[in-house]
Amino acid sequence: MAKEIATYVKLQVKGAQANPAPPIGPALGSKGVNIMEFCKQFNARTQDKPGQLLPVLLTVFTDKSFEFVIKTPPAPNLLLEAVKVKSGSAEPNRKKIGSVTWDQVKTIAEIKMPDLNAFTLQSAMSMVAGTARSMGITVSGTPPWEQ
Amino acid sequence: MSSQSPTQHLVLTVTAVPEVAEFVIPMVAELGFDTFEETEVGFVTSMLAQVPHTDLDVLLGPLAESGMISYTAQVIEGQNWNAVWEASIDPVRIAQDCRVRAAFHVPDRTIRYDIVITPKMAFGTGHHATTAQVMRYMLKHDLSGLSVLDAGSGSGVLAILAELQGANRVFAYDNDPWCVESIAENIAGNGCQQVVGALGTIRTVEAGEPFDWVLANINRNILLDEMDGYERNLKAGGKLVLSGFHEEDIAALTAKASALDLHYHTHTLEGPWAMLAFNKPMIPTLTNTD
Repeated sequence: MAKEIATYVKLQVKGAQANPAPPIGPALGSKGVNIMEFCKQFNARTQDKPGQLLPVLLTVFTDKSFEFVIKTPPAPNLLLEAVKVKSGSAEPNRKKIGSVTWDQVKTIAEIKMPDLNAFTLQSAMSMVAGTARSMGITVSGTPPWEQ
Repeated sequence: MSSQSPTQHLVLTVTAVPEVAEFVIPMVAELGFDTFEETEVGFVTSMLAQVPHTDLDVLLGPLAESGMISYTAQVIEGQNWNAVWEASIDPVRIAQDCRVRAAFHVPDRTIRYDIVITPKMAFGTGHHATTAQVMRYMLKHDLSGLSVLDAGSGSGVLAILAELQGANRVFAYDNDPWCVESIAENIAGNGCQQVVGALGTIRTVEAGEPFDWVLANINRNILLDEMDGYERNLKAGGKLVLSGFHEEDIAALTAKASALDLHYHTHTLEGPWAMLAFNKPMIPTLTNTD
């Protein structure tokens, strides 16, 4: 019989750096999950991505056992890395915080493809470019499919 | 023992719609916040209290003024967030002659090594394959009269087993203050006399003379980074036991050990988890003699 799901927990955790401090401690501990077990598993699975902020979707079952999947890094994190600025813009439409090239958008779209609701690389690139604009990041040049 | 919490955490709670939260998270991460829980209304994050509130206000103030987010920050005392799980554990039978139990379980005098562990967020209750594998390896050997270093000792369970097996000098350290409190409590709980606990890393602790055995149940990257330190703390003819990594990490760890003139002895597997044991030769293997 399938296990009954009690709840989900959505986290972003730096690769290889999960620890029982907040917010992991209170979020998992209050549900009776063994926090140390989660940290040990997550860290072992992310030894190749130390320090990279990774989204984690954790499913907690009614018997206190759990499963989790590690997703690709969020597009904003990758975009910020690409423009190498320390912050997004507080006024996205007025104040531009940097720019990325379509090549960079393509690289990010390729990383994100497994988690995006997109069937083609072009639509994934459009989604990433949209996220960039909403953060105040300009995409320089014309999209490759319009050239 | 002090009742004061060994840690303080700066907890930041941000209210924002998901589209805003997703780009505020990487900004806040730049300040040193390392873990985020995405909630219905925004996100919660924290770090060991270090960042001045003014840094937060410089970063988040403009966003709050523009109405995109609201946020609160407060310093809270660390506590044992794992208490619910810890109260629900059953004793773990590691081997015929060894069990790990909590203080609230009934002692079993028929078991030779009936270890009592109060973990308090320190890793090592024997429930995890990485701990159990090292313990089973130890139980196959005679440790009487030997010295043992437990690197990244968590609850101290390996150090305690070493003393119960007859080791006469045991040094256990961890870089987490919670673990060091836990070690002290568990040493007392098992009536251990030889185990000394310390806070630090292999590079900072003063462990004294080299040891007959070095145990390290941590993770691949730290083991790779610190293995030369373990080797320096190992006597000629001594044994290095590594755990806390996956089967696919064996090759990298064995290569590193080999470069340090540590000779592969054996490994065990349990699910995805692996344990490796190496011997340090009595006489160094001579290479590159020029």
